[in-house]
Amino acid sequence: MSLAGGAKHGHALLKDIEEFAGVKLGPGALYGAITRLEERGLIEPLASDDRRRPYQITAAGSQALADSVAQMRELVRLGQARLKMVRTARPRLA
Amino acid sequence: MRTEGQGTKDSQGDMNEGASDPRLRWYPPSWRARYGNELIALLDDEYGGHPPALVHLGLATGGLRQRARQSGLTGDSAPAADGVRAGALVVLAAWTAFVIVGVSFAKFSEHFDEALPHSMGAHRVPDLALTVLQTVAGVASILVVAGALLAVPTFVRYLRADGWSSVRGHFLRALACTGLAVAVTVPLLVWAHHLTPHQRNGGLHWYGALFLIWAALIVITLMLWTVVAVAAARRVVFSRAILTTEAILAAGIALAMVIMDGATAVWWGAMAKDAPAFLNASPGGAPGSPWDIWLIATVALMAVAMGTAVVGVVREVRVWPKMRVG
Repeated sequence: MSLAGGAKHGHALLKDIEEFAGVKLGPGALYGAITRLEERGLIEPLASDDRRRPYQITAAGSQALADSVAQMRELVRLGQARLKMVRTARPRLA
Repeated sequence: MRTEGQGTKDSQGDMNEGASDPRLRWYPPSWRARYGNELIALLDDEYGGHPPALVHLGLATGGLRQRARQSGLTGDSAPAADGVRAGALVVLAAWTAFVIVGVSFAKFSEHFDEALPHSMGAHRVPDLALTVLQTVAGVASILVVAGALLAVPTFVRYLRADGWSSVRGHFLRALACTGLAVAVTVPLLVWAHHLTPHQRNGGLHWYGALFLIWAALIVITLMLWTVVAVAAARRVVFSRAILTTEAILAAGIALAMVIMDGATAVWWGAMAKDAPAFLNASPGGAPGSPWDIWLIATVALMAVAMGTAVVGVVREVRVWPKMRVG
């Protein structure tokens, strides 16, 4: 999701994920995820003369993210509907 | 996985630096060559090159995970054949551990018959359990030898095709340890021949110390030969027929370990019922209690080895359909 906002290298990814998700990933965990995502063709590295190699999301990655967001949206919709039901049935919880 | 040929000349130099950095020693070499330099840059940016202990721990677990994925033990990125082979090798390693711990159980259960009451019923269950255990251990050993013999022709072809250099270090270490074990075994046997049973069973401390050294050497030798087998089998490309047979043999060995663990539990239960005093053989045992600390540790380690073997078989079964399709 972080790479949907633009190409980033490892350090920028860590900072971005911490900012929008409130989760501080370890370098080992981040590069485990980068390895898996690259193997599945969801992200790709960009050429770089620097040691800090940036990555960008691919078309397949963008589609996978869209699918995930749609699933989450459906979950939010269902959650809101259920909350509405419980508050109607038990107004004191509202 | 991409190779590093895409980098610039400068970055190639840096990549060598990243690939050899000791902080990434847990990662497989090919992974370090691909991602090592970037990860080192991240450590420099985030922690000024001095990451805290928790990050080192994360790097170690991350590196081991990558090794497991590359060997086909976890994940779905490696070819299915690698997954089947990794599963079989896990069973082999678990069997080695099981044998080592099993020797401890064999020593513990020595002369158990003499501790049981003379009534026929008291002997039947523990006798049967130990007979099952010994028979199944023999069958499993035959399966291990059959698996090794099956791999020999492929392994010889691999050695002839310049594969010797990749296993030479492991092989020489195992050979040296075997030589040392033999060199210790001969005087130990000669000495034991001149001792009384009391002196051999703890009455003579120097003999006890030498026996422990000998036992440790045997354990290390077994482990080193297992490392040779695993290192060789990881590099050799087996035909589908051989891999299939190895996988079936591995499943048989794992099943044997399950049966042996069951037989051990039955023997323990029967002995606890009819001769609990026998189960307090170690200094940690409380009189009259079947919960001897040495026996508990032995059976627990046997169960861990069995569990590990089952994990190996589960891996084989999970990737099996893909191998058939491939």
